[in-house]
Amino acid sequence: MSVPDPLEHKVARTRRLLSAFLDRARRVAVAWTGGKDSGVVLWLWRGLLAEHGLGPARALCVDTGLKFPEVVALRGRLARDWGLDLVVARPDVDIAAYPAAEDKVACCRELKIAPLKRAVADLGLEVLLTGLRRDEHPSRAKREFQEQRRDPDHLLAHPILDWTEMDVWAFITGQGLPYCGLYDQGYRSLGCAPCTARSGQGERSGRDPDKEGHLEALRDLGYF
Amino acid sequence: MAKRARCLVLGLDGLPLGLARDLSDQLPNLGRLARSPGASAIRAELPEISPVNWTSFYTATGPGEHGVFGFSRMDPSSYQLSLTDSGQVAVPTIFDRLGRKGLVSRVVNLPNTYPARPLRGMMVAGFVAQDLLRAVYPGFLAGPLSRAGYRLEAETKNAARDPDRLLAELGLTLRGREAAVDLLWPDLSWDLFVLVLTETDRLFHFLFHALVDPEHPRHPACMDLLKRWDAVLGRMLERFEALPEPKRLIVLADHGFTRLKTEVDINYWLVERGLLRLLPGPGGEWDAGRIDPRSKAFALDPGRVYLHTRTRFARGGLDRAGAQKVKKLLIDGLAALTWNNERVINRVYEAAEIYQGPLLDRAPDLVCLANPGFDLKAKFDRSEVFGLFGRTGAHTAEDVFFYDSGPARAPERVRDVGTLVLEYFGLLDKDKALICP
Repeated sequence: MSVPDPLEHKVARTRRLLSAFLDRARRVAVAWTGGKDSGVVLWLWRGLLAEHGLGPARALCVDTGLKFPEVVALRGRLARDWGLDLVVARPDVDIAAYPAAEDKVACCRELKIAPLKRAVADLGLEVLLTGLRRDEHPSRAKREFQEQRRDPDHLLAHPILDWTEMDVWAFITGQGLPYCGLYDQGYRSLGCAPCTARSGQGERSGRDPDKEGHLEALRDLGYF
Repeated sequence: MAKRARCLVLGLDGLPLGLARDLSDQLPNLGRLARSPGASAIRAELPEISPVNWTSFYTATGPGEHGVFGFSRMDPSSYQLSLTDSGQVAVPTIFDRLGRKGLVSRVVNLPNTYPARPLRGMMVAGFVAQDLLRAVYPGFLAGPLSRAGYRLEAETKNAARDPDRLLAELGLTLRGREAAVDLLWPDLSWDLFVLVLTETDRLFHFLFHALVDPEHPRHPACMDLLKRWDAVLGRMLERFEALPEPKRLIVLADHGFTRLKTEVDINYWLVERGLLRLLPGPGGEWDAGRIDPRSKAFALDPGRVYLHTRTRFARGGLDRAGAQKVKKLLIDGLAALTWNNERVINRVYEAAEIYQGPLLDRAPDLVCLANPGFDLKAKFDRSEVFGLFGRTGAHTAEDVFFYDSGPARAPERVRDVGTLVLEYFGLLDKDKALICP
């Protein structure tokens, strides 16, 4: 029988990682997708800020214009209920005329990465907190908790990198946190609507396999 | 930070204490529990079937409060039968009550929790569960459970004809239950963990004769399955022992079991006495739509008898005085029913004798408690009162297995075990004294 790694140890470790950024809290944002993982990071960061009288938490959400309406609705509700400083970054394209998901790499670069980088620069962010986890995808297995990024210069931090999908849900259901209703309809990982379907057995099996195959390339481009 | 108090509840569906003690030498982990001072016998709620009893456990209430009186219920207007499910449970569950206090529950294979309802924690619903996605909360669990080969239920349709297949199926469900525990246990971010192993009930229904007869050719295969079941039990006990204090282990069954003498169809007994008339039609065992307006009474599985009154049922014709007369006739007639000179019915209860609560008006008018070995049925297509249909075990209401690692006092009924859990977590209503001696 494997020795269990209690979730409370992981939560404590994540809080320690996040605490290191409290001294520059105004230049920190959570890259919040409206999904479960970044939602957990946002909840923990928001809690730490509140404990130190440093709120509100800043959340940076890239809205490609192709998000599920359920995700957008949750974003609005939580921004209000959690008192977030929400910044929504949008691509500089006419989404109605854009050939969404035709060239997956180009699509992610133009609709996600470009507006994200622009927002990081405009907000003068030093640290961007993500909900990235190692167990999501083989390309993420060797990621480090912190990665220095250029253009613009900022630190990308992954405070729940060592959490599993089970840990995330254990935390959400244990804390009674709100989450997007799509997860109860068979979705396990939420991206843009054209590239996301209900999942099979793997967490990201509902993501477009073509795009999944390009995750390394997207990471090189600055995608998470 | 205060230490987290945890409670593990193990459900051993259909296990009688007497049988557990008889098997103690061959099933060492069960033996540890069955022979310890913490073991005792409790009584099942009536009728002594799984949905009634597990619902009583997980709500800490009786049927008059939670509203589940059997596997099925009949729409009094359309006469359509439907299966009982979690949507008909009329009171908060112990998981709801723990959740309101911020306490987290993890639940695996608990009967009558389908479809899984949101809770503070996680749920893999049990019998009768059909679709894995609707059986789990949160929904993501369907993925890893499916990958682990989790089976909601063993195929029992052909179990009587193909018992070897049944044994193989039960081996698979057992493996799946443990896979679910492997998933839900290790992070330890829970306060209450409930695992119900239903393999005993399925085995006993179809192979009780082989289990209790060492000379039977299938006895070794039954024992082999039970030894694997005992090994799962042992690993659960190891997990419990590895938990830090404070902690509590509670083990219970929902009813007992014994060797079947005969099935007894109450509806055909009513037909023979002219109290139940069935409309023509192909029908089927669940076709309550065949109840003729001239019927005075009918039954639903297992021994729930309803007076066909005009105030309760769309086609009913009995008035109050007529109902009293028929009720007396039924009580006397059922009490006198014999098979091979043995009395079939131990006692016929009027609803108010055994049920209390706001849902008493949904209860059957009479509930029959059979003597051990008689399995009451209420089909709509049988042509004889007595008969055997491939099953060899029958539920019992007495001698229901119970074990508690806590203070040495035993509850009386299954619902009281739910109360024990609430008490352990300090959630007992001040006005609700624990019904323990």
